[in-house]
Amino acid sequence: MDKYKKTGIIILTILGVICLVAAGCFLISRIIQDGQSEKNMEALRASVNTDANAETETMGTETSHESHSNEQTESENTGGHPAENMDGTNTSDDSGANAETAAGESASSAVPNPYGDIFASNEDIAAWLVIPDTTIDYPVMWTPEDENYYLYRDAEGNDDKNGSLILDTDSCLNPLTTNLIIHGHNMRSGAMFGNLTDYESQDYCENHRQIILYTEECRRNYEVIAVFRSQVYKKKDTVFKYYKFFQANTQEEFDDFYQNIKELSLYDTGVTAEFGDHFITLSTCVYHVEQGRFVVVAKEVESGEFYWPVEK
Amino acid sequence: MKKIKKILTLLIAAALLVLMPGANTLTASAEEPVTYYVKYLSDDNQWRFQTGSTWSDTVQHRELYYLYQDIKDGDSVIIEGANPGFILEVSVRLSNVTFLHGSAAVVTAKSIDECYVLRDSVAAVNGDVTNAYVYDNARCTFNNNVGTLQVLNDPARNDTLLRGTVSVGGTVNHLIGKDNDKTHYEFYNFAAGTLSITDGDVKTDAAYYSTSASAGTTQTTNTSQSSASQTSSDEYDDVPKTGESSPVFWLLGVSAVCFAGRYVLKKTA
Repeated sequence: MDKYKKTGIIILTILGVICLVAAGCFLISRIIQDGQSEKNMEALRASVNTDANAETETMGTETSHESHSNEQTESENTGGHPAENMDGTNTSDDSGANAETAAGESASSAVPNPYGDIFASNEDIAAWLVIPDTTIDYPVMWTPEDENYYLYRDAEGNDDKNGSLILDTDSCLNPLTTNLIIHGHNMRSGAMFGNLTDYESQDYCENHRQIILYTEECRRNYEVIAVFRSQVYKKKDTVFKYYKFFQANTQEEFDDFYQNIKELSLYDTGVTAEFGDHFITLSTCVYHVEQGRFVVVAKEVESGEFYWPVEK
Repeated sequence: MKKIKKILTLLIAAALLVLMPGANTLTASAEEPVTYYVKYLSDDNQWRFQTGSTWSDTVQHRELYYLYQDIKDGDSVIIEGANPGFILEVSVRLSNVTFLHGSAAVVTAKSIDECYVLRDSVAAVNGDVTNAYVYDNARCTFNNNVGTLQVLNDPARNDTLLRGTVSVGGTVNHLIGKDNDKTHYEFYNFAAGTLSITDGDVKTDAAYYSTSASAGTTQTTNTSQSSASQTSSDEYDDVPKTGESSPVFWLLGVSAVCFAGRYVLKKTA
């Protein structure tokens, strides 16, 4: 009996040590990968033309947005991003007028796209998402033919556990769908949407309620309207599925979405919306239930500047 | 002296620029959308095109090569002719594509805002379509998503029958079948690859679409093309999995169990 126990002790010791060593190896490899991934991302961020707005100023073109003057001062405090201009005013009342932001703008008000080089270098980069004063500052990939292509790849297509932010294939920037859904990994390191769950705190939300999406055509400014936990449901489930809402063609479709997100919201953001408004939905995995998701929905508010066409 | 000459030259050049009409204004203009009329000419035995929304025998027509060179976002294309079928492959957004009566063509575009398939036509469309209209007995396959699809009768006929045959590879947000007077059917949120209409009748299983416009409570179907074949209702909707899968915690857990087992065995030994 003692012999069996002795053998058992040896086996368990060996197994325990192997697992411990393997975990350490994985951990070290992960840290190296994260470092490399961040380095690549920094290189990509470095190619953002932060001089674009300055160029605009010298050219004397007027973007005719009230917040423009604030942009310049705010941008100094927000890591050099050219348009992190959030002025702190509540813009929730100007909803309907801003819905069709991409149309009707005269060519004379267009400015150089700070992300133009990045868009030109990779057609899969549909946009660039920035939440000022957070780590969220990433390209958004769109591959309609294979939604998950960049789920475990960086923006250059290299294998990367962090993956990239991906724009849902049923969302579209041109023509713009009512709702743009962006999925991102909830990484423990805080990369991608690793810090999105900070929005559970109302105070955090109030300090980070502005979301910016740079596209090839223009800069879109959003304000957080709802924050909630949800989940991916089974096909048979007839419940509100936030990830199924892309286009509101009727008032009923809009109301259904709007009422549901407002009901689910963890707190009242004070922002309202009406039929015709556009939204961005940031979604990441959480584990309060199986297939849990943490969701931040923001409404498009006053539009930013329009950009010159990107030369590809 | 040289400096004075330079200054004078510059002043004269500046004065000329100001005085010359038009030279002192900087104007920028966007190119206007163009409509291309593509037609099969049996005499020439080839497809040719003209710009404009009608074909004129008195206007010179050109090789399609030039169409491919010039076509841009927002342009429109009208197709007339069937033999041989026309294949248009462009990577721009087309604002309008019209298949005239009796035409046969395959159109591939980045996206199409409005697509009209008229009587007797046979068409295949690659690229998302915002609004599609299929008239009378036209046959059409949309291989990507369609926003609103209307199956219509031909006003020239004296009946109200819908005869269109349509299949869609992607999703369809809104399907309407109607004639001049009444709506025959109206359905919503078709799952990817499920919409099938034969001779005007919807052949899709009712499980794959909704009869009301509500976006949130009626979408029991899957909108992803890749999972269109998955019919089990016990499966989860197809949404990207954005959790972090790390074996480190599992390995640490197993290791802890092993050491705990070892401790127990050693104590009882």
